[in-house]
Amino acid sequence: MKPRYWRAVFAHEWRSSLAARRFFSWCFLIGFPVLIVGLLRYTQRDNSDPMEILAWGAIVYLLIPGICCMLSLLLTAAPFLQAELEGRSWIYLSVRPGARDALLLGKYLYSVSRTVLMATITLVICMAIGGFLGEFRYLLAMLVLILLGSLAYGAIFIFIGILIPRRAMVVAVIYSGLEFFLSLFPALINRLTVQFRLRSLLIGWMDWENSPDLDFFAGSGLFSEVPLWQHVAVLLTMSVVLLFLAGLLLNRREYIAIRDE
Amino acid sequence: MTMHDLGYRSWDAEAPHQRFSWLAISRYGARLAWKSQWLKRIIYLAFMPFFGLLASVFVYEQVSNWPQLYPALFAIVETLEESQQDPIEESQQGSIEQSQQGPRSRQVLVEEDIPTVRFDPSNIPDAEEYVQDYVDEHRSTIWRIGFYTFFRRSQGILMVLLVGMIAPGLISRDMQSRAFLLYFSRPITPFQYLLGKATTVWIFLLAVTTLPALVVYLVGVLFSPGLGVILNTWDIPLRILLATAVLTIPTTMLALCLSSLVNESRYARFAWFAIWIVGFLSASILFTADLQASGNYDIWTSRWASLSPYHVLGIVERWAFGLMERPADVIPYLAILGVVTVVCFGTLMRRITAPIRV
Amino acid sequence: MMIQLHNATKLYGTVIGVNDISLELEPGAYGLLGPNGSGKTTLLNLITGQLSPTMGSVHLFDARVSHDQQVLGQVGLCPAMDLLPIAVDGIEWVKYMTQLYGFSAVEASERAHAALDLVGLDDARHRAIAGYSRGMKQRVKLAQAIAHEPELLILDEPFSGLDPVARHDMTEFLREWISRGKSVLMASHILHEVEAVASHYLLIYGGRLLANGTTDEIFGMLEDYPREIEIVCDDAARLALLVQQQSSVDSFQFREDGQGLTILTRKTLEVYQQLPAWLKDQQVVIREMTSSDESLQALLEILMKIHRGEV
Repeated sequence: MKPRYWRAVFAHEWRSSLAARRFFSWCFLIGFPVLIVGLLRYTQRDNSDPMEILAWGAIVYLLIPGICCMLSLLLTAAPFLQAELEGRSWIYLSVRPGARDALLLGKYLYSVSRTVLMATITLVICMAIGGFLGEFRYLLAMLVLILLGSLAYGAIFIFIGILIPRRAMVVAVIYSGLEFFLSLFPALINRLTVQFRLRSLLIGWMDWENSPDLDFFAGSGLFSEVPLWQHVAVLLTMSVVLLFLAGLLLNRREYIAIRDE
Repeated sequence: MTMHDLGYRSWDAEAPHQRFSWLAISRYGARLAWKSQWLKRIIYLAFMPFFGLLASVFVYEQVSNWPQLYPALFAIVETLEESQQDPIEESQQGSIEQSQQGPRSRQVLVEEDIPTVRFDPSNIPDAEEYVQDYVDEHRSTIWRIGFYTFFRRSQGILMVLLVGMIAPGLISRDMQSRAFLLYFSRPITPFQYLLGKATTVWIFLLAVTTLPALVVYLVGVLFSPGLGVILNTWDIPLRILLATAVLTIPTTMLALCLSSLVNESRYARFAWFAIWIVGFLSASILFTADLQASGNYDIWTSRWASLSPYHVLGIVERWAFGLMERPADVIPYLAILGVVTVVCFGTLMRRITAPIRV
Repeated sequence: MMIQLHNATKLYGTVIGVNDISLELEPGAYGLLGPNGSGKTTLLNLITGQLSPTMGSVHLFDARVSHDQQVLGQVGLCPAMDLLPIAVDGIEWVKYMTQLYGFSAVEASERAHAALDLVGLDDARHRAIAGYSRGMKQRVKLAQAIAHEPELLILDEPFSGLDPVARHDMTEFLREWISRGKSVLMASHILHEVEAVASHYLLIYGGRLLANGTTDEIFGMLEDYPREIEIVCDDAARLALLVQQQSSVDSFQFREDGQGLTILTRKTLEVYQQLPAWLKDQQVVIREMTSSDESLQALLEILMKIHRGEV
């Protein structure tokens, strides 16, 4: 497939995303972590013992690579096929050569890039509010986590979106809740979750495993101390494999344009 | 040009009764929604807590006849007691204990003059009588806690999924296809249309909350020692209905309002889930910060609870089941639900009538 | 060969969409005729690769679409459904659709403008599609189908919902398209619309291909089969006495309302020519005369009778 194909989808999606009617979603996804962090700062204003980077970092991790990225991908990646099937574009796309693959890759990259951009903007603002802009190590770690998390969750949601196009968003929400829950079990199951990998990466990069604040969780299985490159490799492999499977499914299945249900 | 008399002016019969024509909208919507395999799966899943509650009530009522059930009752009572703590508060209390930051504060279940429902029949000579006395004394409390847990913990979460599946497309689909022209060319008012759509959601919500709860109550009465139990628990069916109203009306209005604001249901669905997820997270994070800063353990009176629809509903349901220390604390949260309901209703009516307003 | 189907069948569960169709079409202009629900859209979906046949095979320009999607670059599809993205401008959308054929943004823009000029969508191209009329939407759909200059243009009910002026414009466009040596496959349930454009018909009914040929071939095939002429008159009995003596009439029967006759004849032209002479001085007043054979439905009914062995 020539890059032109997926680039056309990518550019088209970005153009639509910047339309005035989509402004609200941008504001909401950038704004809600900022609001929460602002309120948090407000509650801490009289505290003589200000929050340390670990606690602050944990909260920002939960807000941004956790929820903000998940919500952005829920809006863009999970319903990517449903949006076309609701009778607006699928019938035209499916008679273009290579359009299915272009749609998959173009929309995936759009979802990831949009999510990364939003998350980065809100991350910088949140860190500024918290007074932690100088924590470059944490900032860098978070940027990498945002990227890896977006790639992995984007692939998962796109796969769900192709598998169950009509109920993609609901299934993606159920999946996210289940995955978070399973990531807390100190067992093999949690090693298969994206949350576990991201958490381990953050703790490993920041050298927090030796922090006394995390003594309670030491050995609990909530994070792993294997080399960090393994976590990155697992996340990237997961993304590639799921995208490949998604592509196979998309090209083999027959879809009939449906009305919104 | 001759005007023909088509016979309308001389017609003096009565128009057919229109009061419940909106039920056709509900029936159609429910039939359409029921076609979804995923909805069926979630409905079946939603019945699992019902069996748990049913078993618990059965055990509670029969325990005095079956000593083998003592451990089960003990487990049930402990579980219900622990479930009264908010999970965030519970975990924070655990970590705070670890850091020895202060004594553990026990959540008081009801008014201060009722003792905590400790159950320990071991080493008691006349255990059967002790157990029966215990069961009779705490029946109302335990039942209310059980039903509250059912509404809050399990059905509260399933409600979010159910409404998120059904409601977002109900009005947005009509807006997209301009079906309003078809609806309002019939003798249906906008309010009836809205009532029909809301009832579509309520049918499913009632099926997984009110109906199972009332069945459990009936089973509890039937398996209790005698009809005297009704004197002790007559308020519970009313509380169930009150909790149903709290759970269903504002949430349905909100979901339908979101549906009316967009032409494509996936945006309404996203907004619905985002409100719950972001609200819960906001309240939890800020409550945790308060916990660390001021040692305030009580999420029910935390100022941040109002950010989370899940917590607001939980507080009001707690009041509905008579489990609040200070019932007056519920007033702000009732006001929040009231405002949400009224604003969403107003927005809905405005959006629905927009195509027919000249 | 442009299109080849070998024993192609498509089942939707237990519902038959297309039933054992074999077909070979050289480049040209074809009309796919059939009533609603006959399988026209399913057949077009099989040809364009949106559906895979449950049995048999489908080739487009000697390639299977499932194996070689590049062949779709030679096809433009204008679907029947009135479904278009609403929030985007006409020109933006046509340009996007053209880019998906592999053209650069600049080239796609030029082609999109040229296509919209060709279909007659002028200033409206810079407005959102949500505000378009039915005819304008049809023009946009056509523009996205032709912007990449395909060899084969497939149209599903292209005249649906169009006013007479728009129908005329569409007909003229398609004639001009064909005159350039391009191919057209047009599905419709209205015979005269297809007649104005195509000379070769495919008649489909109940998922089966009943006949395939030019107008002359099809009606020539039907020459040996009696056709109906319905006559409404004031004295059916007298007319019956006249008609039964004529050798050009195979049989007749009275209408159910008793107000005339239905004549069956293999020599339609002869009957038309002789009828005035039969009626001369007989004082039978003809109020209405129709031959239902000119409609697609009648044509299909005859073909079905032939296939069932009833005639």
